[in-house]
Amino acid sequence: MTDQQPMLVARDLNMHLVFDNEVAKVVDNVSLVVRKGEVLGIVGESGSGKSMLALSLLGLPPQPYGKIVGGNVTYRGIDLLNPTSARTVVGKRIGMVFENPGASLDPCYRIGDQITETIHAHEEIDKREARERAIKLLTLVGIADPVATFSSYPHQLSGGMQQRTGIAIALSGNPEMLVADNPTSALDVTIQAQIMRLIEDLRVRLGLTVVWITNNMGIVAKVCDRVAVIYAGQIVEYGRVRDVLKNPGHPYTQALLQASPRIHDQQPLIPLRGNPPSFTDLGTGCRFAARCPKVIARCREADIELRDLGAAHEARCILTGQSS
Amino acid sequence: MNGSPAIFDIRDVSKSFPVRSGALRRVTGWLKAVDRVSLSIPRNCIVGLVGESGSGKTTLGRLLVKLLEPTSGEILFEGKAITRLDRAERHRFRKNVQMLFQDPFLSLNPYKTIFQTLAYPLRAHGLAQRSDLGRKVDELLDQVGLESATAHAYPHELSGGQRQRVSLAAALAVEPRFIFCDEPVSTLDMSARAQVLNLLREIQRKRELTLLIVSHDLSAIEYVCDEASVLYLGGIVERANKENLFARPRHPYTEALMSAVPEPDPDHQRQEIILEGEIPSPANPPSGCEFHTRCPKKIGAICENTAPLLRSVSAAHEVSCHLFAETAQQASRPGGAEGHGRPSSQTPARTSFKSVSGGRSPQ
Repeated sequence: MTDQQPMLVARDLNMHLVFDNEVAKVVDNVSLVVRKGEVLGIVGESGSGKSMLALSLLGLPPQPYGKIVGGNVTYRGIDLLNPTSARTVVGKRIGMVFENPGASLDPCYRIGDQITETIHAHEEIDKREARERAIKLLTLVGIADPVATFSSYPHQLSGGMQQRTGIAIALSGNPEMLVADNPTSALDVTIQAQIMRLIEDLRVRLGLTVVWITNNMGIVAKVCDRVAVIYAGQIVEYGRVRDVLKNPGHPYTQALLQASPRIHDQQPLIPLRGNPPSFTDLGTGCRFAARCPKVIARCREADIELRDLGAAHEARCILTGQSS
Repeated sequence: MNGSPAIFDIRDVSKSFPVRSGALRRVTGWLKAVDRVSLSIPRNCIVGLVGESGSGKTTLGRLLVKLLEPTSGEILFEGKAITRLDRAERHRFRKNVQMLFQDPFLSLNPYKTIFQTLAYPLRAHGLAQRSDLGRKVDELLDQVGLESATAHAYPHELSGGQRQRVSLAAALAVEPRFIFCDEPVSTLDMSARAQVLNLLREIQRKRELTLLIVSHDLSAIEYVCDEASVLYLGGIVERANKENLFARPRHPYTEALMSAVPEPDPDHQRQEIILEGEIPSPANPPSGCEFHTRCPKKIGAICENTAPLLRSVSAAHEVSCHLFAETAQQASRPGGAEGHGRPSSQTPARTSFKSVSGGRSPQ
């Protein structure tokens, strides 16, 4: 799956939030490639900058503070940092699924209107056709009674149904790629399992490429092919899921795994010490140094580059790998 | 009744909420959130309550801490029915029984410093002199692993994990014997989740408390609890100690919940059971076994027509499912229970597992 054609390519992407008297470097020199047909996971704690990275990858830094200050992002050769060309891609060829469907759906409009609005935004088709398309989409995402759901309001649906609707909206432009920002965090485990299966199903049926942002290592293990671990706005580890989860090269990845509970495993959970650093005061050296159990003096001396661990596996830690 | 090993005895408890509709808000139906549950919570341990949203687990917990009154049935705290407490007894009950809320972003007052939040319960229950408050608050913060400087902070200055610790400190302030923890880690990140789970275990051991923890995440329940009950549509479908429940889950619903937890291991092979659909509305529950509409192991008409009873399948393991009717010891259907009757203390088999003594006799 990994030798496939690259879809989304980011090179040295930097996004800063510029406030009156300070600058938060929330996306720092991120380079990554999403290849056709794969599921790329982006994982990190809250506050690690993973959602900001997702928005930046789509050329949508949060306004009014977000500014892309360096690097480039292309989708099959189309520049996503140029608003005019991005408009032909984002929302149409790349669909986005948001974290909390209860908040991302407008409570004042019927589900059907919210889906057809997106369809009309990208295509010149008449109302009846848009309605038929919307009902087809609702069927596709596994809603049992799509006609009734079409004329329901969001509050009449359960969380799982709302997220299915959110996915239907993301699919309304016939996308080639989905960016899903923590799509199951607001849901029960049983419904989470349903949504994971639904996205996997759609990926196979529609040939989608997926970027899946999550804070749950279990989801990474279950749905992703490759994963980028994000800490303080940087990629700290990047590689195939098996390599990263079985042989984590960065102490942060190791710490995340040790903090994740597993069934039938009574190993004590080891929580991470402290909190992620403030984006306005990152200092020099490894950003994880303050919380790292393996820290040595050299960690704080200079910024650390991603180092090669072999087999397209990289980690940003001087204790592992070779500088690439 | 005194000297019973249980801190809480829940006897055949139901809680229904009125469903109102129309312009006059007339009561047009009843929603059974908790349906004839009997459960006894042993002292000095951590008990889990597992189920999806809508399974009634929070309602059951709220009944225990007297935030809700049961529609029928009886709840005994240390041998005394909590529905009939006088003023002084109620005050004592509130001190002994505390609650830890789900969302620490909502449960702390944003206008009060942590010191004020922690000092209030101490003063309300006369547990500290004014001059002593500072030291007491420091002690509390220390117990939950926070620095004493935290006392001067406002909630917005703290992370989710820190706030949940403050909430726990507030619950511990009055030296309770029982804390109901309602989804204590569901809004927290992995690392804060591990901190709070470890802290709950540690506090329980140190203070010899009893904790009831509600969660839909079985991995968290397995990590902290000594025993657990699985709830579906307001009724207990399986109850066992931790070893039995996780090594040999019997009820198809428990199996499905377990298989739904994603494991952080790419080699993990597990039979994947994904439940179809969602939990039905408790205002209009299915007939027979309430799980039959989603059950992957449904055996036939009996599931649709007859409500199974909660029966012992082994020591310290009870399950309510027709699949285990034979393995279970003989048990008769309680008379007069219509439709989805829940087993209560009548079934003889219950005595084998932390049973409530002196329950209603059959028929």
